[in-house]
Amino acid sequence: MMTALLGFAVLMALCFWGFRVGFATMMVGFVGFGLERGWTASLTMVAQQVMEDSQNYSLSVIPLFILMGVFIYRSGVSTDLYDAASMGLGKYKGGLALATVVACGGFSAVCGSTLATAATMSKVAMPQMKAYNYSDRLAAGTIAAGGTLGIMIPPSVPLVIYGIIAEQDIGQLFIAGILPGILLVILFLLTVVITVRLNPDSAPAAAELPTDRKRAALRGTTPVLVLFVIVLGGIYGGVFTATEASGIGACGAAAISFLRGHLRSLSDWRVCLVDAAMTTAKIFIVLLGAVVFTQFVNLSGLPYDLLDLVDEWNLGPAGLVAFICLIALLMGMVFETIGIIVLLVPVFLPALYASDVDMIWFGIIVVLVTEIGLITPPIGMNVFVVKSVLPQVRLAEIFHGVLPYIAALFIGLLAVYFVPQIATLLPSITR
Amino acid sequence: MSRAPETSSGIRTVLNKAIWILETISSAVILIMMVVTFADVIGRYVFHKPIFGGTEIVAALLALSIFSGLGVINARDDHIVVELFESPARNLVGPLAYEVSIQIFSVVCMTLIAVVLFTQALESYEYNKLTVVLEMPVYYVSGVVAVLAVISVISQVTGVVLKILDLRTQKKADAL
Repeated sequence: MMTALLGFAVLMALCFWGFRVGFATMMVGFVGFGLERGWTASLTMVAQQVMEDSQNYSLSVIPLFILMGVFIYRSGVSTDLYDAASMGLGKYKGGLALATVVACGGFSAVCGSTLATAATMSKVAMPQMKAYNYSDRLAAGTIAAGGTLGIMIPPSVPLVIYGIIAEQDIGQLFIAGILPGILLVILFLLTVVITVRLNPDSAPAAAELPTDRKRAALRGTTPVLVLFVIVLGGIYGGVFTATEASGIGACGAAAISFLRGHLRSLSDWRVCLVDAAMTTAKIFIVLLGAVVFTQFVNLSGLPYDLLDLVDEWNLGPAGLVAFICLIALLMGMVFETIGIIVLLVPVFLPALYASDVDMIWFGIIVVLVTEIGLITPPIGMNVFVVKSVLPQVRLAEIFHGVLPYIAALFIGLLAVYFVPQIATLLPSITR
Repeated sequence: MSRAPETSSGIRTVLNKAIWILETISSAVILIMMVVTFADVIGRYVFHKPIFGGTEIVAALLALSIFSGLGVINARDDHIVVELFESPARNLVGPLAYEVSIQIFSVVCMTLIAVVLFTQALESYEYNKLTVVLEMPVYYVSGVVAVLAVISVISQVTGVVLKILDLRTQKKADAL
């Protein structure tokens, strides 16, 4: 156990110093394994892990869902989604902020990236809210928080990575994410309503949208909704696997983008494909580093020592999950989503299995906790993304603005923790 | 006196070309992956004929996409980083020493990956390993992946050299 803890300490030190996360995890894993078992064994282990995981068919779901998100991101559909959401809500006080939450939910349902959702909505929603004198705090805070919906509402890359590490069905995880995703949207909407009640001047009512814009919004939103239904419905109905759904989704997104006047030239295609390929490579080097590190951690016996500890402390399944959540919350202040999942989940797997924890429910809990990490200081990635798109808004204002949403996320987390059916109901129907 | 900037701009041109080629390979691979996955599903449901060895093809393409993309990410040093203490660490040891320490570490790790991939490719060549469905020699993919990993190391080293040259130029300019 001490070896693994030392390994973790070295890894943290390397990451904090600024070494690239993927390389740091791989080197610590390689050296740790080498010290325990010898260098030849360690080299063989690295070779096997890197080759096996980079050619794992199930993992091809990652680049394809990323590609689907990139096509949607660049199709300009976000404006229509935002207009469609504003149609019913814009005329109320705080209505544009409500529309932002709904549009973020809708956009992330086909985009899957929190950062892309936050960046896009910063460009689409902020000018509208500024035009109606919304406070920066409410507007930017809503966008940063709304972006986090991307990792819960399927398709979600963090859920895919969790599914592969924990050997859970990705389709079931996607289905499990639907109700918690809807719950979070509702909680965020309530947060806007309460914030506006407390400070009515922060969000005046907006004017009604012209009829032609309403029609265009509905026309633009329908194909996106259809794509979402095909992808999720296909998985839900057992028509295709998550990997196949990602291929269908990417092709569908390309078609939508093409019909909207994009992807009409080779350079358009190249930009999208390169974007997706680079994001894939960035994620995979972290993933490959993590699998190597996990081999070292497993060899050190840490997961089984933790299992004994859980027995000794008499934590029980709920206590164990609460303990893991606490660690994930602390990690979330510094690490990004994928880093937390790949480092934390494998360590606790034996203890979770031995405690009979529902691994689908646990996956949703872990992703929800990492979602909180996206907007909590000091490293709140979504807050930084909004700040980079809206340099005129002070960082402190955005962090202030997301505070009520952090509370809403905690309520959502507690709800899923105490009522696991929110996550397990839909998968139990399909099983 | 002016040879250093000329050399640096020459290296930069070569690196940019290499990046462009790697980007093109990775984007073409990811496009083929999308088309194969889509065609496999359509083939199965519409024509009752899925693509033979579709999953093996997609798995191989995934590896090619990762390692061609990695070459670009390495050259641009565009990796995921925890930026919390980066600035104080940089100030503590100086920008040049900091950058050198970070980049040497990355290069060593990437070299390790390239070495193990080459060993794997050689092993599969020596034992004439074949894939299960397509019965294609395993070294076709592992060999290309190993070559891509080596290119990745080269592009990474080139990127590092350019970065260090830039920092030295900036240091000299600051001193003036």
